[in-house]
Amino acid sequence: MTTVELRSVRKTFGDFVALHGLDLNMTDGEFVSFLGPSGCGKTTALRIVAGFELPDGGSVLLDGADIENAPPNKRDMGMVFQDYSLFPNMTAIENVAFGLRVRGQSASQMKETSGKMIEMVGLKGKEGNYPHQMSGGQQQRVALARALAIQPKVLLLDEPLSALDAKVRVSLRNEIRVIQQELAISTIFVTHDQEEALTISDRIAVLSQGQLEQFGTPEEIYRHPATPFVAAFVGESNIFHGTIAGTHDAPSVRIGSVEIPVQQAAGRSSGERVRVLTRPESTYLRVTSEGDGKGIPATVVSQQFQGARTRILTHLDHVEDPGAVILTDVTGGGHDHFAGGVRVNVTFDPATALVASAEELESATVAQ
Amino acid sequence: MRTRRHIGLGTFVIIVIVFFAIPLISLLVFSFTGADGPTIDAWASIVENPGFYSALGLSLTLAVLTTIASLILMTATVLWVHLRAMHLRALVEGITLLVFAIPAITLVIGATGLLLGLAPWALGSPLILVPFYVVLSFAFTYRALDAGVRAMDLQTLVDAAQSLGAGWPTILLRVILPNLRTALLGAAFLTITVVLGEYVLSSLFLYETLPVFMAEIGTAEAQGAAALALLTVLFTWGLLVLVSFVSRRLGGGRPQMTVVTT
Repeated sequence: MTTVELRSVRKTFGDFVALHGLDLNMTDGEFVSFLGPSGCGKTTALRIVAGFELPDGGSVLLDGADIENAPPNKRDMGMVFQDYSLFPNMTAIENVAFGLRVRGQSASQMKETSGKMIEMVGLKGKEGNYPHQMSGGQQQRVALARALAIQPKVLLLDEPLSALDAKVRVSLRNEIRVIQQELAISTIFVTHDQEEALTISDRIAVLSQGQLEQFGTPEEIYRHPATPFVAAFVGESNIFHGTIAGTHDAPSVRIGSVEIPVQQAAGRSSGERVRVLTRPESTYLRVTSEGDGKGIPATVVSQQFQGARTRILTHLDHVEDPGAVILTDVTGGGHDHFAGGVRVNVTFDPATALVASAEELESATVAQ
Repeated sequence: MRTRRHIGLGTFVIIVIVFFAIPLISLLVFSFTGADGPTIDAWASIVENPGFYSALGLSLTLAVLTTIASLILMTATVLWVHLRAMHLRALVEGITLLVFAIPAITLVIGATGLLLGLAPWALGSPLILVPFYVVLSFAFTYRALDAGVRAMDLQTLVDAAQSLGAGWPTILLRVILPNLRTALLGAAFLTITVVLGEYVLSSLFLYETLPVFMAEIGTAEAQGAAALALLTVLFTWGLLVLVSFVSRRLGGGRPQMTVVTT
């Protein structure tokens, strides 16, 4: 059983604060992704877990024990780097056996384990190849086999797919997930690619400017973004301009002439100007010749066929959002009635909508 | 167009060959020239002169010791700069060049004055030249090793080795040095050529190294000096060929580049 816990981990580089007190814990065998834009602190957090960087404050616990004083080579963690980092003077099998040799394994043990690992990553027959004789995908597979050969307590993946082309990236990420589940190894995966994180993670830690914005399952992150940053960074969002209305017990947001109940608006002052963020698939259209007071009046601009879904673009009449384009995703066929120029009413699922002030949204956008 | 370019390139190569070959051929011819026609007297006098062997022995000993000291010092320095003190890189580069700004006589007078007070016995051994030669070779060794380190992703390789459980001795011996071998050989070659060609310091310290011996022979026997100069050039070339050969052999375990698919 291996658990990893970060407690109030802080790190600065000169005047730049890379991590502002990161708290996070992962359970045994869990696949956790650190997701965020460049400079958000995700790689710093990973390097602190690996022992390559020392935190200025806070602690890292492995199975409940503080490992602050353990050097990287005593932490029992396997790491895969963005740029492969295979030892150029060694063949694929020698690279995989390196960690085993360091641990003093016998030649026969090394050969057996390395062979198994090479086979597991689908490189049987390439054992004698040097790194310069392998493609990027093959090199990264060797790097994965090398990291797993030592049977580490935690597998650390530092943007391992970033340098690969799109097709290889998708296939290798699936392979990584399958292997990780087979071996039930606790894994931290650093990425700036939301699709990667959403696809293979058990949980995602979204980071921005050295702070944890949200830590949850991919579905929680996508469907219930906790902050404007998460809503804006993960997936696509519609932004409605509005004003807080309603009562304390029944909060709502007035958008144009329409008042929509939104639970997320609770706690904000009446009259406060806000932004409401919704996902395209949680935004709905209804054809209407005139406003019915239950939806925001708008005009369909165009349709985009995207295979399994159709995206409909509309312009709100609402004067506060001049030119704002609202995206709506509808599935199935028969959406001809949403042709360009058709008058519609726009509504959204209030349960999944996120309310933020203009300043909060602006700082979230800047952070990206 | 292509023919014209080939002609231009060919002319350039010929000029370069002539530039290097003419002095060497002249040296060769001159070394076999005697008052009564061609002779091997100059070569014979060198071979028969016991001073030649002691000078050669001393120069080779100094070259070996300087190379070892220089490689240890500079490898450690370059690795430290790249791993821990990148911000000091420009400063270290500047320091390696400092020796070219200080006249040799200043260096010798300063060092002699210091050593007379601290360790006068050190001046009694030709090995006193080693630290000076190390300083002289700084610029060449540093640059050769720096280029070698820059060619590999040192920090990531070290991180990778550490994450696999390796300590510093293992990282140095199994990861860094094998990947630096061409740079190390290049640095060694440059250091040896610096030592074998250095005249001023050894003559000021009154030790008869090969260049000093050559200069002395030259005052009495010009043909002998020409023969010695030619020998030195040939020795250096031989060394260069040897370094290239060894470098290729060490890297020869790697099969040639092949087309790969994912």
